[in-house]
Amino acid sequence: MDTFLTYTVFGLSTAAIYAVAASGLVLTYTTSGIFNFAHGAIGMFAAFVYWQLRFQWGWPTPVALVVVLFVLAPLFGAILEVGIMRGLEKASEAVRVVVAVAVLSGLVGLALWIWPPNTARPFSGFYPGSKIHIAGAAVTAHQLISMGCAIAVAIGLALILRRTRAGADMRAVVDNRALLVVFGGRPDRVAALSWAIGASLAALAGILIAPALQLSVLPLTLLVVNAYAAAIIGRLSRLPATFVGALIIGLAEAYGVGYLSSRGGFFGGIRPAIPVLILFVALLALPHARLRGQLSRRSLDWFPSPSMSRAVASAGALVVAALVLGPHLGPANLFTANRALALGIVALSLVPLVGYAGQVALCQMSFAGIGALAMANTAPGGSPLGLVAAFVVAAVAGAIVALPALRLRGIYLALATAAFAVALDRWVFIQDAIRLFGRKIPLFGIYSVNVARPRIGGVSFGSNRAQLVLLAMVFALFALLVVAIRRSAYGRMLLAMRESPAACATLGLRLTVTKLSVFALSAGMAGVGGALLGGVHTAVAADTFSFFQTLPVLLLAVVGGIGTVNGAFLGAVLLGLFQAVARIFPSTNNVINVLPGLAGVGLARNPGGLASDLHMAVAGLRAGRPRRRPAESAEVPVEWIGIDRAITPADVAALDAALGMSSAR
Amino acid sequence: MFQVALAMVLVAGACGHSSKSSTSSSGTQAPTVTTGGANDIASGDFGTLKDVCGAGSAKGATDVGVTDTEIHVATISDPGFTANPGLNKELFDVADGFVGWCNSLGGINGRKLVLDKLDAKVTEYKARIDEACPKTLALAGDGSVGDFAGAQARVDCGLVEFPAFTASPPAADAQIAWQTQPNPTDQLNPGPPLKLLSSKIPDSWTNQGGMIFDVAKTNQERNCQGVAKLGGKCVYQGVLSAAGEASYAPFVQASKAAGVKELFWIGDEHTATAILKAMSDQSAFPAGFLTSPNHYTESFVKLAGSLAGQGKIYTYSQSVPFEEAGTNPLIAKYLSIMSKFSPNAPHTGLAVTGFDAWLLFATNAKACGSTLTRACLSEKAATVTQWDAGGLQTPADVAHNRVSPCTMLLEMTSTGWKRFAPDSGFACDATSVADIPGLGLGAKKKG
Repeated sequence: MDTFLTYTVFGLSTAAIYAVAASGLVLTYTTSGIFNFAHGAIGMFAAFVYWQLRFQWGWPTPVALVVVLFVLAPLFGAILEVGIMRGLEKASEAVRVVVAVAVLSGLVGLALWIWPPNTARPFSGFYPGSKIHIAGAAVTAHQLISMGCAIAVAIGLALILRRTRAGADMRAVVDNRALLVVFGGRPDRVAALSWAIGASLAALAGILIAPALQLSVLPLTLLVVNAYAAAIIGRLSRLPATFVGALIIGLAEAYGVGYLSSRGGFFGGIRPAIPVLILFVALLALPHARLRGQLSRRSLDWFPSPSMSRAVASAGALVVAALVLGPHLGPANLFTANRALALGIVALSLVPLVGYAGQVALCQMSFAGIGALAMANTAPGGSPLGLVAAFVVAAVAGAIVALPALRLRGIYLALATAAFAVALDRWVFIQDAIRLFGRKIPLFGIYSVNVARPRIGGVSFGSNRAQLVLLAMVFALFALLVVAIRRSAYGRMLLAMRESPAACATLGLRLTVTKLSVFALSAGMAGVGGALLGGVHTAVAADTFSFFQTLPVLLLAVVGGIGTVNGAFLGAVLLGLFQAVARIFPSTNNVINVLPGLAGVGLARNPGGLASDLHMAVAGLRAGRPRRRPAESAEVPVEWIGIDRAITPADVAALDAALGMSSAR
Repeated sequence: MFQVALAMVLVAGACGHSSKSSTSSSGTQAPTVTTGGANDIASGDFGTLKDVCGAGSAKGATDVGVTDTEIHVATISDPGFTANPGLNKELFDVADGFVGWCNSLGGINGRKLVLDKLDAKVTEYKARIDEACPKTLALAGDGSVGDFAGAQARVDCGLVEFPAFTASPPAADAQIAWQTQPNPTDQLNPGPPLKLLSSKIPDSWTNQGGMIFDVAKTNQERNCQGVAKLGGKCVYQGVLSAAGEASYAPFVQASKAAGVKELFWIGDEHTATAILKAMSDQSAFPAGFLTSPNHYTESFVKLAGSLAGQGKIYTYSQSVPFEEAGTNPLIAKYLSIMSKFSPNAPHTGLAVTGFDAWLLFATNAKACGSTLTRACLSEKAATVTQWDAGGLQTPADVAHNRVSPCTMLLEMTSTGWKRFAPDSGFACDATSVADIPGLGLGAKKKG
């Protein structure tokens, strides 16, 4: 019993920090509709800044705390909202996710740049050495302060939300933004305020957790993933339930360490995955969301439908380019190009799923890893059947993931797929082997898995140059497939599902089949990409396919332009260029690490990505004058259209879209 | 943020397998050394090794990377790793130092060394092997955390290697790699330090515990297998998430509840510090907290030195520690060479191991004389059954890739490291090395 109480005390002190972090997440989400994936990174950055002020420059603790918590962090949060997030109101879910990921990426790159990791930065908690004993467990002053902070945050937020005008506005924004405007509220100011508070809470969580973890960029950034579950238990809107969620996670983790053996076969390794499994279950337990149409998305997203002949010509050109360029590239450039193309295939797999169908999935590299494992286990000699197996196994995995996630949309789907990816990372991929159908299938547990390069019809693609050609061929084939999908009835169905699931359901489209099939197709393509990526490296470890490898692929695909095949290719080119520059000019390494983040943040201005920019530029040159994208319509709720003026044909189109009556563009 | 999550994962993996990768570039403080006498860097002698480098009349383009006047050698490390910039950069520094020293003496048999420093950034190891193979004779003093990816390619193309460390099983058991501090998968690598420390702590051999990152947990299980084979017992095996834990207190509690007396930690110094802090909070230090040798750095002392008074923190070294530069002419000479030819080289255990590897390369290359080939390098190395780098490191059977039965322990003080055991030199105990089933994944020639 004593031990049980001891673990309970540990769990409570962790739960306090999760509660602070999760309440910040909830606050920003409810008022701006953006799930802040950069929340942990903000906390990490704040902890480093606090260390700089408090321990490096020797400022008094209260001064350093006030400066970080009440000046710098809120300022950063507000600037983030005003400068970046505000532009995303009408952007697709994919772009919103990616912009937040870009901020995360930028902050991590910046922190590693400013505070190189190879220097000791001792970080002690408040009142080091002081502690009291509760139930046999020593509770430090710092832990008590953490719990006190959690309670203070709970009370403080309740007071702000219930007793202040700003709080009332915050709640109003969630319920009906337009109505708030009518009543003289200022939703923009409310959003900026909530982001300021959110960033401050992230900073508080970062500073509270830092002594237990020490100043290490990645753990501080990643830990907040555990707090996602708490936020979801609070349904991203209710703070009391969020606090309960934090308690559940904190306690589950502590009891897991105390009572689950780390050994004992497959389930022995489940402990680190507990928070994300809870997240997954919590997502499934969410009430079924109402099928909805979406407003005013169409002017921002860009899904051109190229002619088949043009697509074939481009695909052929890519293969020819690979044949011609290959002999002129040295081993280093070949490697960079091959890796970028293999990741480009994974990026391409996102086009039908995230682009056309609008389903934001964050586990594409996990499917790639499954593909690599399938290839390694079925075709050690490089038989093309291995690539088929990679497609099939990954596609089946894709369908299995999609099945429970079918009813989830938007950010909830993104989080469910993230939970799947992290569970694979922390639990499945690092096992030595699993038994499936009586066969022992080695996983990444013993460091790495060898993946053969394909040998097709007596032709070996073993050399780096042949790899380039093979990758170009596979990319070209998949690109043609994606273009064919775009031009088909199936493709129009995907777009329609993206525009308005409600309308699709009304018209009798089978959403379930459509969703499952596009998930499977996309996962299969990613699986082939993963198998080929494995071949590029010849051997791969689990981290090549971790959740955090999916983020840059998604980021660059969206930066390139998630609506088009060209966009995926541009993403791959960017990836290759960044790496080539970093290799040729090692001094630029730090800048390069921050660049993808900046590029992603740029999306806030142009959600169509580079591909649409280039298209516009080329079209403009042809026409002899710069062409502009049609101006966005001002923000008018659809039900108010025409109230202050005569209805135009554009208004009719918008009304049709909102009611789900138009055909896909 | 490409490959961002790799840092924790792979660095931990490397420590697990090689016990040699250091994540720190700020090493242990060394006393200032006056040059002269045995430390005269104008002499090519290094301890018992005579004229490692010097003038000569070798001629001919005998193999890849060899000309009348030059030998092209490469070293690979990971300083450009995105998630941990500067990772193991000391391998490049040491290569500069050794090559500078060697060339100042006239090179090897008169041929000057031409050094190529290749940055694998963890994730590009295969590409660096592909680059190195067509133009360099051998790799020396190298090591990459991502070495699983190119281990086979290296063997396939016949590139001989004298690594500072190997990280993955395919590299640790690979052919034509000659490692000065072997870490094969079929032996209990940390046996000597574990047993030496347990001889100082009553009842600890049957109350062993371990903590390791999840990605390397196989390693801990295998270590415990070895301990059991030597009559010891692991009573606790903690597995921590490489992505970071919110609190280390439950692990400390579980270890304490299991009755652990000697706790072996394989990982990085940030997490080690977090664990030690949790031990301090709970007043739950084991009798001995032994860290993998990548913790032998000055930065770890800065992080955890304030806790050294509360619990006993140890690490081990396979080479003469820097603290003995005042009395040991070998480490003194090493420091003199570095301060002259690579003044920015940090003083870490890995740096010295890198130097050991360069000495082994140079000694074999010199023995090949004028007909310097890859085949000859391997032929000579295959006869080296007792290598101690002139006295700088514990003797090891390089030829058969066997773990050295010798070691020494260092204890952390609030300001640095001090020798703990044995009283001088290295303690050797043949019964501290156990054979365990190997993984059989080593890269080998096909056919």
